[in-house]
Amino acid sequence: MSAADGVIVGTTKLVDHGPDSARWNLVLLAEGYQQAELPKFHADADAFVTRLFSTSPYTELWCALNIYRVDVASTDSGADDTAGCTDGPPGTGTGATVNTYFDARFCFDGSTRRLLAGDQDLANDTAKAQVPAKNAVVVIVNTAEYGGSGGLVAWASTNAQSGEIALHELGHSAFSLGDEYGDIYNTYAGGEPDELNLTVDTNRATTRWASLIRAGTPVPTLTNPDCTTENPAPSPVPAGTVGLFEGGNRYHCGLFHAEYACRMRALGNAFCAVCTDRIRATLRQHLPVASVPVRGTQFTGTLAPRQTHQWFTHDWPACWHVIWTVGTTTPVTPGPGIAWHVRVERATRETITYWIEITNLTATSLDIEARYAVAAKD
Amino acid sequence: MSERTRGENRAWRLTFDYVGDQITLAGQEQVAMLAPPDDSEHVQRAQTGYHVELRDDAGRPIYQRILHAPLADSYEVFSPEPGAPIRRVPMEHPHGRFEAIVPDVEGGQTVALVGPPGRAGRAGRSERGAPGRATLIEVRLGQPPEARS
Repeated sequence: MSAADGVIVGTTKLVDHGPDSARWNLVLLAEGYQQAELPKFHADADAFVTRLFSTSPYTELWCALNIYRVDVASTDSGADDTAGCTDGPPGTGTGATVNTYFDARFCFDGSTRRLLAGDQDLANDTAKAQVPAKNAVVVIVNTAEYGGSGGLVAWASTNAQSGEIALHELGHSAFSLGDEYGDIYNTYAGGEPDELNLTVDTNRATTRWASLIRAGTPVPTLTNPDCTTENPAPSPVPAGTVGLFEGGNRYHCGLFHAEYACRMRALGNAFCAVCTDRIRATLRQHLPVASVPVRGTQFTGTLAPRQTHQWFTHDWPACWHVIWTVGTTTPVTPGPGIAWHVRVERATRETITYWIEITNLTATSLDIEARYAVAAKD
Repeated sequence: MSERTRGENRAWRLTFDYVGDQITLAGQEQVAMLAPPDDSEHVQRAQTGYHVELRDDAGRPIYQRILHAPLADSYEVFSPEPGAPIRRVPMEHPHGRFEAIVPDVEGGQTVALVGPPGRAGRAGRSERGAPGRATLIEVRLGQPPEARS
């Protein structure tokens, strides 16, 4: 039940947007996959990448990320079925153990079945050894039962809902976001917390995210009348409204978060505007910046008088900033010789197809060329 | 802080272990990567919580970055039902590991974890102008980890 129970097979750069020294690097580790099951891990890792790509603000900042997959083959499959938890599905908690590299197990604390975790230090060290510039680590555990946890690395089973756990935990570990729920504490009486998605300041003019609160939104927006429990009241404002909603950092009262619903309050929600801003502020510096332009001619052709023709060119990296220019190499004067425009198709997560339509505006044949300049790619 | 130069992104990654309130340096290494953006403006406004601080020879902060609960003493527990409440369960013996990444810039001499004085341990001392915060551990860049038994 340790590193002796498996072997690191290899590392693959799943999403490659440039040098690790400039990007934000996420590492996905396999846990509880036998050698023959690694193709399943590849599919599970792809599914997580797809989920991340569909999650704002990662979608908009996708070009800031590199993602690695580390294939780790374990002796056995799955995770330990720790005995002692009575809150799991029927038939679980048998005490059966499996020999896996990171020693993942349910009921990690001895009493909570859904708490799935393992050897955090080994997982972190493995990720660092494979990707020295790693920013965050998610361990994907090969079991369909719901479970996961956070910390220095995030753990998530392959259950369709478990990916949400990793997204929430990355909010903590990578972006320093606080929890927006209360669970055991009643009223917070401390000062303004470090976490930027929480505040004690209920002054409309000075509160942390004052610039996001519209004039017509009441402040505080939703207070909690019973500080011994969470407030079950529905939102008094439409979804997506930024205001001050009571509860956070495990306190039912005294701390406020920005929207009624947010992934840092309950899973299954989008990140609120304030959390989104925090993630953006961290990732933005990792986006490709202007570089020495790479220029060239993509295609040439001839257009008959008054003819319109469409060309396409595919598999351009979606993260490149490409500038197109179409010109005619046949002298035409006076007046314009051609008209053109570009349509853009996001063909895949990583590639773009450009559709370039060119019209000959004259009564004579014209030779044309389509030129590109890549202004930013690293 | 020095201006970002392509191809010259350098940072220090510091790894700390903690058992209860006792924090030790587990390791530090220079890495070709970008440190997270500076949070100094936010740290100045906040009154509680944790942040990591890169200091110059005079002890002045030249970079600060907020950390969420580096000395975790609980596990977060989730439900598969969308929107269901999240809760935390206590660690029986709080311990763990956390990392801090700071920029490798000229003038940076030490790295400190600053947090609530109650968790200061033996290394704690009060911060001028920052009630509710203390230096929990401060290490010199390039210093080897402490020997541990």
